[in-house]
Amino acid sequence: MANTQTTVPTFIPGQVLEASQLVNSAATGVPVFATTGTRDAGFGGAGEKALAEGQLCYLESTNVVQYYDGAAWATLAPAPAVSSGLTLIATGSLSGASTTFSSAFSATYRNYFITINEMTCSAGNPDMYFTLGAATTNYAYSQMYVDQARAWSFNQGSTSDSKIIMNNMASTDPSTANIQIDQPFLTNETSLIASGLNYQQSQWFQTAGKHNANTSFTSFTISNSTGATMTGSVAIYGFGI
Amino acid sequence: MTTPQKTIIDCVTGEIVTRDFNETELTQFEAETAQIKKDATAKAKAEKALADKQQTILDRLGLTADEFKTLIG
Repeated sequence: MANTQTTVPTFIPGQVLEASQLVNSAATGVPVFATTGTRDAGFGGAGEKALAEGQLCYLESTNVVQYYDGAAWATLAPAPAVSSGLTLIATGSLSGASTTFSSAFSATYRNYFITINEMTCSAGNPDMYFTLGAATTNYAYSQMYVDQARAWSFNQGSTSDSKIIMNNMASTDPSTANIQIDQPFLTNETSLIASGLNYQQSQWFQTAGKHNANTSFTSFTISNSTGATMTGSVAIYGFGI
Repeated sequence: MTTPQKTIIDCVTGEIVTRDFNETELTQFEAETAQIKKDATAKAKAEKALADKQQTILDRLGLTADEFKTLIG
């Protein structure tokens, strides 16, 4: 290609600088190499610049700009593929008595994090339900909650249920819930841990639950025990593997 | 009662569909609601039976509930 070079020349005092010597090196700005192999061979040889920290290059083989940090080459741009951390998959709003988020889980991520903010319901303080896919059996969970206003704590759970009770919803002060789901897309058991808060009732919830059958899920549903109309903002993140 | 509504959000396309509960969902919801009422009734009954039993014992001892709380406090 037009800009490809195989060497980054160096110059000595008194040397006659030919125009041809500038075509690739100086006129291109950042030296362009076909591969990492020709890049490595382009420095340090006779008449070549010594490789040093801060050096830039462009690789045609992968279309990336790299920099040398003094010990190794690292990709500057485009950004390297995300291999760790959280990636926002989708956002949505709770609506009606039941809201399903379809195509939320895939092979791209193993674990997921779901945040639900400003969660309210039309009346009362119904339990918030969490289900996976179309499954209405094989759920088990344990839940503990602390009721600061009434100065007591309580626990409940089930070893065989049609849903996981996650939280308690409020009709005035919004509630919140954070849910971590482990490997819902893999064809095995799916587990989750969640924390929730009901401001109206001064209650804090901690729930651990699982779906006990080896099933691959792509969706989840938030609903409630009374069929009350819900509102709230939902964000779904995938954990990089 | 108005039929509960279900919203489905496709996380890939962003498409949002809102509809009434279908027959299966409605059956499931009604079963859950009936079970909640049944559990609440059973719990209230058990709590009342316990309270009655406690009162019977207090009456036998000639104490009020407050006096008993003071004793065990």
